[in-house]
Formats: sequence, C-alpha cells, structure tokens
Amino acid sequence: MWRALVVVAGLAVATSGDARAGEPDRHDVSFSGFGTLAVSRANEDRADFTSSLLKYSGAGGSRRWSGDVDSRLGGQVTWHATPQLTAVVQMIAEQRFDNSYTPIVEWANLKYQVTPDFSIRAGRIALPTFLAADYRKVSFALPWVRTPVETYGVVPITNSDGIDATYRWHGNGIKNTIQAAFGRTKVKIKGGGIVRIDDLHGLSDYIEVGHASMRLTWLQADIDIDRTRPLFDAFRAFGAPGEDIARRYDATHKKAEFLAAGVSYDPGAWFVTAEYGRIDTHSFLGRQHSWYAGAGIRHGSLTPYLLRSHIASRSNLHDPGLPVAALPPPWQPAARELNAGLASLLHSQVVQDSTTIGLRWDVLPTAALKIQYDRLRPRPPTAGSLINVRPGYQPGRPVSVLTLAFDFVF
Amino acid sequence: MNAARILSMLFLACAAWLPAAAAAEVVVIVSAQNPLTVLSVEQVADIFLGKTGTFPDGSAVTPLDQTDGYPLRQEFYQKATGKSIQLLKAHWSKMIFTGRGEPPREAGDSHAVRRLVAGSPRFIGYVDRSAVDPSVKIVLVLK
Repeated sequence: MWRALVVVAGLAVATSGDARAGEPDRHDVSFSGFGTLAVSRANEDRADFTSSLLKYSGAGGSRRWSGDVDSRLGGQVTWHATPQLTAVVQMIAEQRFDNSYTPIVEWANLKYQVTPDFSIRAGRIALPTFLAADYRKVSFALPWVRTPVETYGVVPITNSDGIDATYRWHGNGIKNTIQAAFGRTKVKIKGGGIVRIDDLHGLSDYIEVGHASMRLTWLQADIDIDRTRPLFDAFRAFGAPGEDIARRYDATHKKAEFLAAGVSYDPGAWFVTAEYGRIDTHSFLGRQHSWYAGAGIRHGSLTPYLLRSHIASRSNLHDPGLPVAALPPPWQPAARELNAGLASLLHSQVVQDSTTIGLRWDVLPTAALKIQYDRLRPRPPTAGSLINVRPGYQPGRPVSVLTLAFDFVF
Repeated sequence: MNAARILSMLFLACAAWLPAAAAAEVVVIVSAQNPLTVLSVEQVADIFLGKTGTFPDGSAVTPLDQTDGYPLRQEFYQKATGKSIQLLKAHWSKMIFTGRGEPPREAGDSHAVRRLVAGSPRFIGYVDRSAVDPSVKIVLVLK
C-alpha cells in the first residue's frame, strides 16, 4: 500500500504542472496530517484500560503509565485529478492488535463528483456510524481526548472496502446529507483470529438545522469470527443441546444489525451532544445498548467538559450450557470445560458506566492540550471495556484513568 | 450604581462601537455576469464552510478565500459564520479528515479576489467595499 501512495503522489506531481485556465492556483495535491501524543495512567493492576478493543495493551496491568492508549499519527494525501475526480489516501500509525505501530491504510478511495451535490466513492471508505465516527481518530476535532469507549466501542471498525454514494440537499433552513454504503472488511484481533464482515450495507442521514445537527444510521452485515468456531464445533458434538447452544451463540455468518442516533447542539460558546447506539449480533457478542451525553463550555482558549456514558447488554451474560449431570460420566469433564469456555465468551460482553471530566486548552489554532479524568465502573460479571484481564481481577471495582494529551493537525 | 459598574458599562459601550468604526466594510461579491442578486448570511456561510456546492439556483459555486493572515478574513468568518478561527480550524479538520471537503482556495487580497471573481460566474468572494468595481456585484453586505 505504501507503493500505491508513492504512485498516487508521483502521478499527482507529474500532472500538477497544467494549471487550469482561469482558476486560481489550486494545489492539485494536498497533504494534511493529524496526531496525538498522549499518556494515560490507570489504577488497575489486573487489567488494561485502552481506547479500542482492537489494541494490544493499555494503561494499568501491562504498564501503569501507557502512551499506547491514544497516541497516533495520521497523514492524508488528496489528489485532485480533475475538478470531478479526487483520490484520497489516509494512513495511520497507532498501536495495533500485534503491539506494532506499522502504519495501516485507513482510507484509499476515488471520489467522483457527479454533480456539486452528488458524489460516489469506491475503495476503502470511512464506515458511517456515529456522529464523530468519520473523524474519531482526529482527536483535535473532538472536544474530548477520545470518543466514549462505551458507545463508539460498539462498532470498533472504522472503515470498509466498497462503494458509497452521498447526496445532499437543502431547503427551509434544513441541510440534509444522505449516504448509502456497501462494503466488506476484515479485522485481525489479538491472539490470532480474524473477524470478517461481509455484505455490509446501510444508510446514514446527517441533518443540520441552525446550530443543531443529527445523524441517524442503520447498518446490516454478516459477521464471521474464526477463532471461536472450534469451541462451538465441540458443542455440536454433544447432540441436540449442544447444537442449540452453538446455534444461539456461534458467530459463524451471523447477521448483525446496528442502529444509531446522535444529536448535537453547538452555538459556539458551549455545546451539548448525546448519542445512542445498539447492535444485535445474534451471537455471543450479544445485543448491546449504549448511550452517552456530553457538554462543554468554550471560554476563550479553554473548554472544560463533562461526559457520562453507559453500555448494557440485553442478552444473556450467563448460560447453564450443557447439562453436565445428565451426561455419561466420561463426557462430563469435557462438557464442564466447554461450559467454562462459553461463560468466558459471554462475560466478554461490555457492561459499564463511566464519568469523564476534562479540560481542553487550545494553545495554537492547530494544536490543543487536554487533561482528562475518567472513572469507569465495569459491571460484573464482565470486565467492562478493560482488556488483558489477569487472574485476580475483581469484577466491579471502579477504575480511575488520568490522561494527558497533545493533539495537532497540519 | 458603583464606579466599577459604570466603568464596565463604558468599556462595553466602547468595545461595541470601536471596531465598527475602525473596521472596513466586508461585502460578498459575485461576477457581474452572474444572474444572482442577493444571498443571505446563512447561504454565504454554507458556501464558505463547504456545506453546499451550489448557488441557490443550482449552479456550481467555488468560494475564494483571502489569504490567511489578512485581517478581513477573520472579520468575514466571524460575521458570516459566527465561528472563531479556532472553531473554523476544527470544522475544516472534520471536513478534510472525513473526505467531505477542503477549505476554499486562497486567492490573495481584496483586489486579487475581485479580479478572479470578475472572470467567472462560478466564483464567490468577500472583499473590502473599496475594492468593488463594475466587473462584480455585491450580493451581501456584512455588518
């Protein structure tokens, strides 16, 4: 993909000589970047706090102070091939599932502006989900250090490979942008394993009325997780009760449905924003409901803010599993082990509340310093959004996280 | 009424009056060939914030910015969009990094903007009223 980047850049430089007649100097190629340098400290030594379930580690058990939670660097090259055709490549380096900072291609797409208000894109495209989902990695554009882990964590995937179409119209003071997307993607997870998302399709509508904005999203996809398949195959070997469990919790080509609604009101001197999202995966990943509400006041270059967020599961966190006592004695140890495996999968759902306070200081027009304190309450039997849970972890114990971040764009 | 209160009221009164007297008048212009006669503040804000790609009649529009650092630029955005330079930067960060748009092209000072706007009905710009000549027409006066 680096090669693709070089080719795009090379082509762009080669063609940038022919300025279009009658138009002002237009940079045919533009480069923009963003980044965050941050450290977090968490007072939990049996698990890690981090910003996404797709990361390798975070602050807490692995390291009391960690720079891996929010630090990242992103770069974007935009090439205006013609007034209608634009190519965009965005690369991001941040801690990945494998503990490396190897840059990933976040986006690489071609956009064709059919009319000034209708465009189509093909390639790797931002996945439309929540209000700030498309720029969730550009911390500078967020009032807080990171998007709430409870709500945005419901869909940790940020892009998909496919096509989308966007149409915008306005009238009577209402601006409406509707987007239809089709795609697929796959994500590697820690410890080996791939989550495949196929047949992804959905609609997202963004409405602006004065200082208010709203986004409504509906997405559907086929989810497939390879790592848990052997466990459910073993359940199936136990006949009807095992097959029933496998059908209910297996994540093999299950249909997942996602709905979200977000509103924001931002007259400039202050802002409030609230979002709701729910996902139903028809698998051990569960049916999750989440919301958050946040507000801030802009006082010169200072913006103090407050957030409350919540995620709950509307599906089973416990299941009796196979009826061990009813099985022939030689089968019982294996059945007990499978039941324990199922329990730990069900407990991997996220149930948590958190409260966040912070202060943003805009030190430059293109840079901000943030200090943020989060108090998380993971709800037993889950460990909430914590990862790398170690033996001795006490479910339900609140976790305090302190983060210092420096965000910039260029 | 105590002295501090009187002083603060005097200060506020001066603060409200001084910039208006000292500032140049910002006007929004299109080419004289453009059939458009008037735009609202909201329509101008939408065009310059990249929220629309067309004039109200549906024809394509390309906004032109004054180059960063010219005082008229800050005054224009404050009056047309109510956004400070900080909020404007955050707005464009969102637009750029979502692939939804890029800031208007920078075209220089009031005279440079007027020259370009005069050349094509596609362009729209903002200039000091003193830079206006018959090659362009004023569609909005920002007060």
